[in-house]
Amino acid sequence: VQTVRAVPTEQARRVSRHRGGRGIQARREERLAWAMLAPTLVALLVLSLYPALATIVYSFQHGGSFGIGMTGFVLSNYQRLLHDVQFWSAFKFSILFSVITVAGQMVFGVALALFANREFRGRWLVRAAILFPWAIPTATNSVVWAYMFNDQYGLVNGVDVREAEKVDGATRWQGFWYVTLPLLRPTLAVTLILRTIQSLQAFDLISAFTNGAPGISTQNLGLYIYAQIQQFGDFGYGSTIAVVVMVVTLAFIALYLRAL
Amino acid sequence: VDVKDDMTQSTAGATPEHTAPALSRRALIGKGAAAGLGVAAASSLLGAPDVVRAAGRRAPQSTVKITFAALLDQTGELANEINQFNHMHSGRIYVDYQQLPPVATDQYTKFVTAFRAQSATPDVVQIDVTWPAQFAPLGWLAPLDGYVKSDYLSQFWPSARTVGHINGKLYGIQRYMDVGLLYYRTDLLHAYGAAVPKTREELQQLAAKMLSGKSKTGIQYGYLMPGKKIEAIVDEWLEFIWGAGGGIGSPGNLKVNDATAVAALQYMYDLIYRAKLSPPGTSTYAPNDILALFQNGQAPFMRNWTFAYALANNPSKSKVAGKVAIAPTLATSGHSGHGCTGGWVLGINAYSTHHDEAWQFIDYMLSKGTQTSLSLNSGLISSRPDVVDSATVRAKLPYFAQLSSILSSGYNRPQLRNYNPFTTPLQAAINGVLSGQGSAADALNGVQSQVASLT
Repeated sequence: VQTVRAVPTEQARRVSRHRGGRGIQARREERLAWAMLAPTLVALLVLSLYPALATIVYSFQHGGSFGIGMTGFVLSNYQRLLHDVQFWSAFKFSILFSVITVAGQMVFGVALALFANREFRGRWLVRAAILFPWAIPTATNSVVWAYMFNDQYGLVNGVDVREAEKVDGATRWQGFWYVTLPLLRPTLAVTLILRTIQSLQAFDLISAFTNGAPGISTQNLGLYIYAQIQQFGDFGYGSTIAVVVMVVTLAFIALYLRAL
Repeated sequence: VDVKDDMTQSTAGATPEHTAPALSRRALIGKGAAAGLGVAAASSLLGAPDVVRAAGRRAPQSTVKITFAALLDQTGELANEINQFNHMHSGRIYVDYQQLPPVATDQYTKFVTAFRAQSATPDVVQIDVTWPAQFAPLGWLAPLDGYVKSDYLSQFWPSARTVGHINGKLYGIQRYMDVGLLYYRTDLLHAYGAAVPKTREELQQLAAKMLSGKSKTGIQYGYLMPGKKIEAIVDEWLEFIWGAGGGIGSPGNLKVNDATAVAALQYMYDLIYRAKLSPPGTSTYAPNDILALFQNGQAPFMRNWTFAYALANNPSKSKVAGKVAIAPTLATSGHSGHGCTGGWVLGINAYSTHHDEAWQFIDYMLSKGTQTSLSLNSGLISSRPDVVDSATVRAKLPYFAQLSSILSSGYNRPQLRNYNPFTTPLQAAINGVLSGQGSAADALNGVQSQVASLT
């Protein structure tokens, strides 16, 4: 096996393009690319595609408990969705949660990034403060916030939260709108897609913060799937809801890819 | 999809120490594939469980190692009991204590994951009283009938021996008991020259009187109850129903929205919003939260579990230590209070390869000696009346005298194979009402259609 030694020169590339076909070098690079991708592809197939397909199969089965003794090819799980008050409540909350959290993340995220990008004394401290929450697991964070909202000894109830930043002049705003934002667009597009997927599949944050309460008003699809599968052992119905999440996620991705 | 990822680990990690001998290449491939595919259902297709069972057989005369999974015990008593057993059976049986997280639903998830993967460990499980009826019909628990005769069972409280009886077989015996209690402040009752309230009306009048004189009593609330969306609120609601002479039917024919049931939930709402005896934040409080308020001297009455007794009377943790006593939960006039019973049950994993050793350990844990130590050192209520009523235990824990009578009038929750689909919508409905989201009747009517035919 020959090793790829050097990047082809500009001249060589031009020559190969001129000939109309792909050069040996290009084909070799392609093979190498596939070889390097192979482990990831195999891992993705086994770890993601198989469970995804299994979920779809389960969604057409019913009966049994915890996946034991399931039978048939039925549509009853999907029919049940239509009349399930809890499902629609969770569905609405999931969408609402996504829209609000992603919009909030984008606006405040960009604002914080611009702020941390300015030259000022102690900038390292601000940057560290912005990155610090990433080091804390979501579940831990949620528990801390739940305590902050506790009506007996919480911080938030009673503390007057004021606006920290004032709006800058018009020129800066225009600079941001016509220069910075267009430059950030590709990055924002990717971020938007990833954050939307993540927010649609949220579980740990809500589970640790409210666990769906009061009532079922903050129960999202993730929590409802967990209840059906892990608590009730209803793999068929739980999988059906999971398929809905898959479809909604794919729809959002398609929307973004089209729009951006 | 996320949930299934959990299965991967347990299928793969089912029996790591059993893999050494007699594994054919094909079996290994099968096992590896089952682990890699990440769906426990795959393991039965590929015959992995048989591998696990066959490989689990060990050469005779070596020490048999069994695993006991139970919630974390902060008192150290459980670890001591296990050490004692290991000492007594040195060279023959060794019990490894697998500590589980304190929250019941987390333990439930761990057990279900292990059982679904047909894992041979843990061998002995300590499970909530509502779980045997869920696990046994799925073939996850081993019947104990071969080890237990009826005179053996008569040593335990009635509910402790019936809790594991499912479809005519015995799948578990309770290790310790729990029951819902009304806690009250002896000093405040004395100051007002009042008797311990038995009915809702008596409590309401007394608490309101104490609350109006709060400059004197230092209290802020009249009555504390858990209101968070957890199992405890269903139990408390059941206690209000039972205390009014009502019930919720039987498996297959459950009725959660009759007049008594609606009135019970309405009363819980009224305690917060009309009588204003319970804190406005009640719908977010777990038993620990209300205990903290009670320990701080902020209320004369509280509904809580037995664990709260030692903590409310501990001078280093409580401002009201020594002034706290217990009584039956509330009733309406003409009826008597019935606390909701709970606690933890010992059983054997059906996939365990060491049933005999597992039973020896359970037998030891249920013996009078071990149970006496349990009550004396951890304050937990033994599942044996001869321990709870013994002079040694009474000398150290005088309140066990009252517990004994409260326990014998306690009621069990319905024994349902589908307990979670029963309790989860109820928890949401009750919590929703306590959060001011809707009427008690509407909330319970909504649950009725979901749970009516559950078995």
